[in-house]
Order: sequence, then C-alpha cells, then structure tokens
Amino acid sequence: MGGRGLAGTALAVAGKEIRTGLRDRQAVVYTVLLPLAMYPVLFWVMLQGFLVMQGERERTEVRLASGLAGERSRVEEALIEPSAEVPAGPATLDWHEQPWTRDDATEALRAAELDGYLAQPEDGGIEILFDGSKSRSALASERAEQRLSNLVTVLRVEAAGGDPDALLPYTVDYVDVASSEEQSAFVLSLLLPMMFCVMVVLGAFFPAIDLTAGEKERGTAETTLLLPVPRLGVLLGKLLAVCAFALAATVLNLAGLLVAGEHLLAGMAQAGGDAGIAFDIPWGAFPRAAPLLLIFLVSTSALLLAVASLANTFKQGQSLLGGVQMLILVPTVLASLPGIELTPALALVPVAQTALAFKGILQSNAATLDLMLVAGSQLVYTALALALALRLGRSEALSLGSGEPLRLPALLRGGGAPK
Amino acid sequence: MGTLGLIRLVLACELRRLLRDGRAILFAVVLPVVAFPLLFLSTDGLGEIGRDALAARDVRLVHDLAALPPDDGAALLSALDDPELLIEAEARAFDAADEELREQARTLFADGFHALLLARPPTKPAGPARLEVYFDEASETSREAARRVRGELLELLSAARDERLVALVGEDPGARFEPLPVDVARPEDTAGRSLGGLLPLLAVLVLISGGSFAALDAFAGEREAGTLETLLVQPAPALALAWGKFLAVALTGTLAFAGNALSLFLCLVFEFGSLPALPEDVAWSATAGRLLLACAVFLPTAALVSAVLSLVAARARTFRQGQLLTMPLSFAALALAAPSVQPTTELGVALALVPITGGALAMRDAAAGAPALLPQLICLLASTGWAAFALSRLRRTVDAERLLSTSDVSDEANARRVHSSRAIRFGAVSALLVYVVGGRMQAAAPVAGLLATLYGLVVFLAVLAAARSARRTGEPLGTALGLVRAAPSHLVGAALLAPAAGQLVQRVFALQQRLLPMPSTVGAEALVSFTAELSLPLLVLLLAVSPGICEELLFRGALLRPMRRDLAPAAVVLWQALLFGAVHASIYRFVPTALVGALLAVVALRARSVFPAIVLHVGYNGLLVTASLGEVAWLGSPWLALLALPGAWLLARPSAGDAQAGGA
Amino acid sequence: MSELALRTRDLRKVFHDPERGSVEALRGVDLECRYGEIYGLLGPNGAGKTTTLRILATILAPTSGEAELAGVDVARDPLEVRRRLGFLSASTGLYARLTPRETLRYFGTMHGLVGDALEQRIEELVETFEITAFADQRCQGLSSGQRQRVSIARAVLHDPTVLILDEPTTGLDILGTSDMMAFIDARRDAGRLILFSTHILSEAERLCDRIGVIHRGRFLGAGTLEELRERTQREYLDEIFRALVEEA
Repeated sequence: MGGRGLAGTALAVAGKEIRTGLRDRQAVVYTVLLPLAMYPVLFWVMLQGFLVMQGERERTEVRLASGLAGERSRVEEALIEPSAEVPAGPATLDWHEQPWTRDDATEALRAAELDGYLAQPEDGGIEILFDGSKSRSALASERAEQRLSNLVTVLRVEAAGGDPDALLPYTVDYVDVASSEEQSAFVLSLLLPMMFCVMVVLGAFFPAIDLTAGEKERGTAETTLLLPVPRLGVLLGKLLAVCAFALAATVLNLAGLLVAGEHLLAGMAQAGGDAGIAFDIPWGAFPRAAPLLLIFLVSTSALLLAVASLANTFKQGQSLLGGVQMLILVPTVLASLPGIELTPALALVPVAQTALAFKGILQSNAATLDLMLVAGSQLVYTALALALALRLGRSEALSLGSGEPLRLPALLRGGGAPK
Repeated sequence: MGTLGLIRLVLACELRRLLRDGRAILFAVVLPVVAFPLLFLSTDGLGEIGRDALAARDVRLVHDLAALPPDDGAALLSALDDPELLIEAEARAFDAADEELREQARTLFADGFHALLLARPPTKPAGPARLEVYFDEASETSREAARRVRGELLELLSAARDERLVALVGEDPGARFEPLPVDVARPEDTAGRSLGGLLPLLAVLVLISGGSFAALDAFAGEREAGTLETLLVQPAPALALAWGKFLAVALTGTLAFAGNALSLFLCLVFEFGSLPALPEDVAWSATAGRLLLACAVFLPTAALVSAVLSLVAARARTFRQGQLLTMPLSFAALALAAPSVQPTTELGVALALVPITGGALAMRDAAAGAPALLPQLICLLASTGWAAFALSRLRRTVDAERLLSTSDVSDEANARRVHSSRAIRFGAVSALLVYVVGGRMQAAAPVAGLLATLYGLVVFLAVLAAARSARRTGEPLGTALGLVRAAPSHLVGAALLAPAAGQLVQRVFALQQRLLPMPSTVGAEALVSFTAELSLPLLVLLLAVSPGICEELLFRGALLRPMRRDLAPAAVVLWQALLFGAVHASIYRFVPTALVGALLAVVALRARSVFPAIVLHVGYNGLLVTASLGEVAWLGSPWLALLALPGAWLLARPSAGDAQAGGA
Repeated sequence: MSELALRTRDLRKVFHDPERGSVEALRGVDLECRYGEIYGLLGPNGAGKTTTLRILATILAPTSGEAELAGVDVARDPLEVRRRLGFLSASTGLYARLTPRETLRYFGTMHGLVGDALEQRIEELVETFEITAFADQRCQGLSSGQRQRVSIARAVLHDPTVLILDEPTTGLDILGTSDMMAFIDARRDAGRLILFSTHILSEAERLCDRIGVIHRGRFLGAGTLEELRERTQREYLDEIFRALVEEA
C-alpha cells in the first residue's frame, strides 16, 4: 500500500476530524446552540434591566430647594409640573425666602439632605448646585437642567410672538446623504472588525488544542504518526478542520449577535422614546471582505495550531494559547477607534491589517492598493505560521508528548527533527 | 474532627496546590493585575488618539450661500475661515432641483469633498432663509466636517438670536433662567464615584477569571486527575468539601481582585493614567478608605459570584466544558453589574434585591461616600441570601454520584422526571423562539406577524411537542395535544371564570406598578397601533381567539400532558406559570401572565382537556380587548367577578368524566 | 467462623441514560464476607463489579437493597462506613503538586489523626512502602510504581478494617503486581477483610480465599475455589465461570 497523496491525506484527516468533532455533543452545543441562544437571552436581560432602571429613575423623587430672588411661580411650574416633553419624574421644590449661603447649600447637598439647590449668580442664569457623586443629586441636576432649558426655549419663543423661526436669520438642516445601509455599515465598521477577530480566535481556540494536545492526551497521536502519509498532509487536514470549526463558530456567533443586537437597540430606542434607527445589514460588503477574512481565519488557525502543538495536555495548551489570544486581540482594538484608517504601513501589521481592511471595506474608503498589500502580507504570514506548525509537528519530543520540559529555542532550531 | 476543621483542611490543601501551579498563578493573578488596569486606563488614552487623529484632518467643503442675507453669509464664511478649523472652502453655484441635490452632494463627496453648505430661499414669503448642510454620516471625515461646521453655526446663531431678542423685547427673556449646573461634590467623593462605577465590573471580571483556575482545578481537574474518588471516600461530609473548595475559589478570586484594584489605584495615584471625570486634586488617602469600605460591601456579592463559579465548575463533566461555561457566566455577570456605570441609577429597594446588580450599586455608593443605610442593608441581606442559596446548591452538587458519573448518565431523581423535564426544556426553547423569531416578524408587520407567530410558529411547536411525546407514549396525536372531549359543565365553568381572572390580573398589575414601576414609554404597547385600524370583532379574533387557541394548544395541550405524567399537580401549575410568564418576554408582564398561566393550568388539569382552557383564555383576552376600547362600560363592573363562584362550582363538582378517568 | 465484615442483601442499582433509557447495573447482589479473608469479585468488564464496590464505599447510593460494612449500614451512616474503609481503584490518582508526605498528612488529618500520632504513622508507612527516597518530591514526577505505593499507603493510613480494591493491578507491571499481591496477603494476615475485584482469573485463583462471580449485574454464586469446583464439576476457574454463567 502506497498511502495517499497530499491532498487526499489532508481531506481524509479533515473529514475524520470534522466528523468526530460533530459527534462531540459538547462541542456542537458550544459552537452552535450557545451563540444562538446566549445572545438573545443576554440582550433580553439587558433590555429588561434597562427598562427597570428607567422605571426606577422615573419614580425617584428629587428634592430641590431654591434661593432665587423672584419668578417663583414660573420656576415652580417649570420644575414641578413639567409639560410632556421633558423627562418624566417627580420633583419637590422648597422655596427659601432667605437664600442659603453657598457653603450651607453645599453642606446640605453633601449630606444628602437635599438633591439640588438653585442659586442666583451675579450675571444671570440659574445655578443648579448638586453633588455629582450621589445618584439622586445627579438625577436632580439632570432633571432641573432639562426643565429649565425647556422654560428658556418657551420664553424665547413667546417673545418672538410664538414663531421660533423669527428668532433666527436662517434655519439650519443637516442632511445626511448616506443610505440607511451605509449608515449601518459605518456603525458596524467600528464594532464588527474587532468582533470578527475575537470570534475567529475563540472559535479556533479549542479545536486547535483538541487536535494537538488533546490527541496526545488521548494517546491517538502515535497512531496518526505511523500512517504511511505525508506529515504535511496530516497537518493541512487538521488545519482545514480547525478552520471549519472556527468558521462555523464565527458565522454563528456574529449572526446571533447581529440579530439579537438589532433587537436590543430597537427596544432601547423605543424605551427611550425614540423612533429607533433603521438598521440594514450591509450584505454587499461581506463578499468583498470575504477573501481577506478567510485568509485571516486560516493564518490564525495555523498559528494557534502551531502553538498548541507545544503542549502535552489540554490544560497546558489552554494556558499557552491564552497568551497568544491576548497578543492577537490587542491590535484589533485599533479598528474600533474612529480616526484610524488603513495606511500602507498599517497594512503590513499582522492582525491590525485585517481589522482595518474590514473597516475600510465597510466604510467603502479602502484603497485597492492597500487591500492588495494586506492580502499579500497576510499570505506571507499564513505561510510562516504553517511553516512553524510543520516544523513543530516534526519534532519527536512534541509529537508524542514525552513530558519533557519544552524549550522553544531548541525546537525552532529544529532540534529533534527526523532526517 | 469538626466540620470547621475539615473545611480549613480542604481549603489549605487546595490553596497549596494552586500556589504550586506557577502557570496558573501567572495567568490567573499576575497577568490580570498588569493587564486589566492597563486596559481600563488605556481605553481613555486610545480614544484620545483617535479623536486627535480626526481633529488633525483637513476637510474640504463646497458652499453656495447666495440665498442667505449677505451679512450672514459673510459672517459664516469668515467663521469657517478660522485656521484652527482646517477647513478648505470652495464656492460654487448650484441650481439643481430639490430631488437632485442629494445625488449632487454624493457626487461631490466621491470627488474628495466632505460637506456641502447650500443656502435655499425661504419656503414662505416672510420666513427665514434655509441653510442645508449636506454630509455623509457613513464617512468619518464627513462627520468631522459637519461637526466643525455645526460648532460654528451654533455660536453664530445663538449670537444672532440674542441680538434679535434684544431688538424685539429689549432683553433675552430666557437669560434669567439659563441653567448652569455646578457640581459641589468633594473631590474624594467624585473620585470614589468615578472609580466605584468601574470597580464592580473589574471585580466581577477578575473574580471569575481569577477564580476559574481554582474552580476548575478543584472540581473538573480533580476528576480528571483521578483524585476525586479518593476524596469522596474520606469521612468528610459533603458540606466540608463544598465549603473548603468554595473558599479556595473565593480566596483566589478575591486576591486577584485585590491585586487588580491596588494596581489600578496606584496607577491613578502616580498618574500613569486617568479616568474620565476624575478631579485634579484628590485626597487619595481619604479615597482609599472609601474603596476599602466599598470592597467590604461587595463581599457577599463576591461570595455569590465565587459560589456560582464553583457550581458551574462542579457541574461541568470535563475541564474543557467548565472552561467553555465560564464565558457565558462572565457575560451574564458583567451584564448584571453594568448598571453601576450609569450615574443616575439609584440603589433602590427593588434593585437591591437583584443579585450582583444590587451589590454593584452598593459598592459604587460606598465608594462615593454616600451609602444609604436601608438599601445597603437590604442589599447586604439579599446578596448574602443569594450566596447562601448558591452554596446550598453547591453542597448538593458535591455528591459522589453526580460528580463521578463521567457520561451523561443522570441521577435517578432526575430520570424519574424525564417526561416533564423534556417538556420544560421544550417550553423554554419555545419561549426563546417566540421571542426572537416572533418578535422579528411582528416588528416587520404587526398584524401579519402576530398571525404568523401564532398559527405558524406556536402551532408548529405545539404539534412538534405533541408528536414527540405521542411517539414515546403511543397516544394519538390529538390526545397528546389535549384535544380530548370536555364536559359541558367544565366549558361553561371556565367561561364564567374569565371576568374574575381579568379583574384579579388588573389588581395584581396595579400592585406591581407600585413595587416595579414601568417607565412611561413602555405603556404604549403594540395594541394601540392596531386599535385605530381594526374593528372590534377583528381585534377580538386577532388578540383573543387566535392566542387563546394557539397558546393553549402548546402550553396547556402539548406541554401539560407530559408534565402531568411525572410531576405533582402543584409543580405542574408552577412550571406552567413560569413558562407562560417567560413566553411573554417582558419583566412587567411576567407576574400577571404567570398568574393567568397558573389559572389556565388548573382548569386544564381539572378538566383533563385543553378546550376549557381555550374557552377561559379567549374569554379573558376578549374581555381585556373590549374593555381597553372602553366601548362597553358594564364589562368593567366588579360584580361580574362574582360569576366566578358558579364557575368554580361547575368545575369543582364531580362530573361524568371523573368516574371514567378514575376507572381508566 | 469469624464475624461478618460485610454483607449485602438484594442490592440493586438502576442508572438512567438519555440514549438508552434505564440500565440495570445491578440486579440483586448478595455478598457475605468475613474478617481475615481475601474475597475476589470476579466478572468480565461491565458486569457490575465497580458499581457494587462503589456502593459499598458509599460513593453511589443503591436503588434498593441493603449493604452493611463493619456492622454499619452504608445508606444510614456513610461517614462511619468511610472511617472503617480503605478504598483504592485503578483510576485513583494523586495530587500532582503535593508530595507523598503531604498527601499522607492531608488524608490522615481527614481521618482524625493529629500531631505526633499522625507523624509517627506517616513515618511508619513511608518506611513500610519504601517511599523514603521520594517522600518529599512532588507526585507529578513519580513513576507509576512509586505512585502505586503512595496510593496504597494512603488507603491503609487509618488502618481500615475493610479494604476495597477495584481492579488494583490494572496498569501495573509484573513487579508492581507482585508487590500488590504481597501486600494483600499481609493485610489478610492482620485480620482484615480485603475485597477486590478483577477480571483476571489467574489473580483470583492464586490469591482469593473465596470468590464471588458476577455477570451482567447478577450475582451467580460464591465460595472457595474448591466449593465452586464441586458445584460446577469443573477444574479450572475459566470453565467454572462459564458454567456458572450458563447455569444462570
């Protein structure tokens, strides 16, 4: 028997790994069911929590006192019996004919005997003294400010004879020319690249350990090594399997997150009294980004596979990959910052390149040359990760998990590689 | 040896083993101590880098201000000419039709411009001219351009407004009332508050990440190493093992947190980083005292988090499974702790009772030096209660049979309830599906979506559940759905209960409103949008008959029968209430709908058929719909509730079906 | 006849598996063992040996039936049973990051030994089982034979009157196995009951005073080798075993 060729081996190994993976009930539950159920439930809890807090806030009565010289009825009306437009919630107002000194008011506020004190400064306006370290006082200031602002507007419009436009030389309208799909793409461009990278790393994490350290632990590594097939084929097969699991986990997680997130945003907007934003998922951007994202998935899987092959037990693999995971995820934060775009220099930085390229594609402002630069360097990094995985896979000490302490420099020099 | 001694012994052994695991210490304690404070502090700094990068960008805009009064146009242009704004402006004449302007703006933006300022003639004869600012919200630079323009316009326009007001009435009538908030908080209070908002999140995160190594090692790890069996044949009660291991988890997590909090604090004191809203001149020694108090207040919540973590680790069959479960656990805990960052959320009685949320808010208030005694006390008691509950579950889980079974072999008590536990799981999944899928359908099209949810999804789920249980029990599908002939007296009796049920639920709702007030924006439910368009009979059909039939087929039909097989009637009613409350997916509707669910379950159990439950459900919903329209005044009469007496009698009295069921 | 060290009556155990439904692991096991004997529980893999031993060790609760160990009912007072019991199975591991001496101290304390008495006992065991050379190294570096000795020392630390060994020789090399057998002999001579399970017939033949045969959860009979030969009219244990299975 001559064994199988490279591609045949890779496919056979991948097929077997995926089949056994799918039969692992735990793995299926965590890659499929968890993302689909966890996000809706979690976001539901957050939405309900948001509502409960809103309800509690609206019920909270704030205690205001005034040291103002006049206009008592106007201020009382504005603060205590507000119209429908200002935020709901009860307030009491204690009118002092003899104004307190600032120190007395401050003392009372700090002792939480009072939530807000209205004082008359020399040069007009109404000072709202409050203690921002106390929730109720912060709420009092927020309420009083909004209600007084409302009063100010009403008075000005009254002075203009009821026509707000009469106060201005010209009106201003801001016209957003972006379609709702483009707007959604922009919002997503700040979140999705980072989340994509996180999901890929999380998705490849356990399969990578399972197919290397896990195999050593179960004692099946030896059997695989004895097969009359090229090592590279076995490695590629494993890589393919890890990629498949990572892809499934990423897609399902992002889908669950997008669907549930949309629901949460709509619910919060409704509870906040807004009409809510139309959220159109920009499907068109995904096919354009897909090649880059897939190469990232492959190179990340290869790197994790390589590092995980250093470990002898599942637990060991976990702590090793934990560090790598952090290293990979830190650069992705860059993509979530507004103001940072893909440049030729950043296009060469591993991980950050992918996140920024994805961001650029979603905002449709990425230069083709930069994107090609990203793709090219991504391929180089993938090849490097694969070479590392292969080199580590060849070393005797590692493939059988002899329990010897691992020394990375020796391994990289190729110590223990069979001739 | 006493239990206390044994607890100490187990704890000491766990800690010694953990301390010798260098890698675990590195990842659980050392790394977070360095990483998390850096993360918290750097978010602020990184945001600034982004903002600076944006502010340094040159923006290009095109303007056609011919339609503005000449002075105003010139003033605007000179304001935009400020070199600090980095605006390059170019004049062009536009004479496009209204509908073409957007397209023209888009073309301009594609050519490298970022905003278009276009003045338009007034719409009404004496009205003001209009200025339109075109920008692209999907482009960072265009947003930045609009932001800069907006800033200048606000200043120009408020100056112009003041001028006009003076011209009109001699002064600005609003000036006297212009609100000027002044925060008089002590610097250390503000600092405590600012840190106190973050600390609960940090605490939850680190307690879990730091404690999970200990938890997994103490349970799943011990199982995999083969030492668990040995431990379980020692003459030590489960209580001692559970507490010893729990304390090891709690202590590891707490130490990790202490390290983190300290490093965060030192970073701030020595000005390695800053937090938003942190005052300049903070008396750090006073703040340190606050923070210590805050940590003390958080202790019961920390115990709760550690106990839940231990519980999860103990229930996990493998190290890996435990590891996978800690992620959703941290998400959930973080979501519960998140209210602490919301500055105006007060620790009230209701929130004090919520696990983790109460503790997080109590910690924040204590850090700010403003702990309100009563809520703090309630929170302390509630958190302790929750922690004790989690610990008692842990003690029951540290039971040899459950810990040592390696496959999915379940213990006997659970297996005896296989039908009901399947039904309960199915009900929970159904609730989730109705919430996610049904919610989307109804958001897209209220009426059609509701019909599709009920007749498509809910009926499908009912038939699926019934078919599954029919296959196991060999009943016909109709019977599994509860479609069994009901005694006429039961049908009439159920109908007579409807008014009383409606009034009871309204009372309960009013009571709940006092404890858990709804925000003013929630009351406007989807119902309102229908009522304007549809006639009463159609509304009744849509909101009473359809849910009555479909929901009953699922809950009191397909799910109730398997529950009845192996649960006591009271337990069936309780589960039905919980599931029916959950399917309505709103915290405000939970108690009222759970009550209705319980009543419907009682009726269905009594009649051994789904039909009387359908009658009651349709009647109850129908009354609510009709009453909400306010067209039939007498429906609200309290006397109608008295019909429940003959109704209950009809249901309670022995009927022909009883003898049959008794004989069967 | 000396007094009964262990007795079970109609012991049954049902497991529930979501895939297969109810599985009757034990369908009525009656054992009677005395002090000063080596009792071998013999049966193929999956016969119910481990389940029986785990019930006796109070790790599992019986579905029905009674079990008494050293005069104490396992269901009623599990802690008291555990005080009189030593238990060791093939899957038993050691805490990787504790030393043998620390391991012994930990479990000794659990059994209520303290102070000098504990230290003295540990020294005794360390000497008896030839642990001295590696008594202060962490267990993770020990060979399987060394680990086995530590495990045995741990199991007899509190001088239990009943010692339950579940397939104790699985995974041991020849030397380890003969050490184990010598140890079992020595315990018997000290007047203890040793109940052990095995599927290796030669082991049972060479070591046991009495043998109980279990198959598919059913107890097929017990007796000395002689008694079983007489009952089945067969010479060798494997034949005896087969005959008993056919008989049932």
